[in-house]
Amino acid sequence: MNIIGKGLKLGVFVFAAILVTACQSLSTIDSDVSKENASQDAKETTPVSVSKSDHFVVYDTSLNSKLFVNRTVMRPAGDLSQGMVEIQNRDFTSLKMEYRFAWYDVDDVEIEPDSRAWQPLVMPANGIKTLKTTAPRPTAKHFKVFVRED
Amino acid sequence: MKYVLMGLLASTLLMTGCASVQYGDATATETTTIDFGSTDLQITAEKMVDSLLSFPPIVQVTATRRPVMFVDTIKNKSMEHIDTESITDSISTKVLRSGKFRFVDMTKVAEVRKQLDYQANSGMVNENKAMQMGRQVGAEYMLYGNLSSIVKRAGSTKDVYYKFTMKLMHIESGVLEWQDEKEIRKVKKKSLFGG
Repeated sequence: MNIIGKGLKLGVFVFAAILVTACQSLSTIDSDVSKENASQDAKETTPVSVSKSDHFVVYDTSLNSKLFVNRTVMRPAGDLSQGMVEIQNRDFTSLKMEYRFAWYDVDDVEIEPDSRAWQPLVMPANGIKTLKTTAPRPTAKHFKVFVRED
Repeated sequence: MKYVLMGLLASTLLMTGCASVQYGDATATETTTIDFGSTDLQITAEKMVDSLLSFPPIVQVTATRRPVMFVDTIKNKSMEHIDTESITDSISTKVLRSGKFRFVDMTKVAEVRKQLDYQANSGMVNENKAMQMGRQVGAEYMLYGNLSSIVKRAGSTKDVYYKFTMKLMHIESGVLEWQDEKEIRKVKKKSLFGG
């Protein structure tokens, strides 16, 4: 009976240890996530690099060495503007990434910043894709496309 | 008995103690489940509005005036429960804010009629300042569409393909002035451990 009691006691201690460890690891994950978010926020305000075009902003250094802008076009569609960016993955593996368009007015203020979502994009190895956007309003003067790893 | 109670207490703590809530970015890609989600809604609305506003005949029509549009509900032909009214709302918000079209809201006809009736017949509103019946502007265009899906499963892999089609019809002539579609493919592979 004494052995069973000791066994049960040990079991409860082990369980409690697992409980504490689990919570610790979860909180570690949470803090990692918040660190990641913080670094992502930092990336958003200060892009790692601006690639060959003023229209194209890459957040990740690793992506910047694989993604190339073949051409960018901005043309009128009535009094709205239309933007187009042709990008190429020059890596031998496919890239999973996200992109988001942003339009700016004459004062370089983003128009309706929350209206355009990050869009998932899979670029096959050596693949070429054309990303297109239309200005939300006639007051939009230029655009940027932001790219980050998924 | 004491150890069983302690065990129960510990497991309750385990289940409730580690939960956390935090705000996220509404524009970030969401892949919580394979079902139609916020990212699908946002990219569908964005693609449709960009396409509509840059289509040459529509550019021509909206160059000098703001035609009135009526948005019909989007038919959900998929097997999934999807709030298509939310997609319609996102699209009409973007189109309206572009300044290219004006809208009539058919969901509020009964309320508007009640208000006009009140202004005309209640005796409470100054006759000179009351809004008149029969002066509404009829819609020139109707925007409508449907959403369909194909779901396939093979072993631990689930593949969902969504196709969202949208059309703009000139109501008087019945001519389709614009049409476009957005395709979305999502694949879920179930791992041996976890979800």
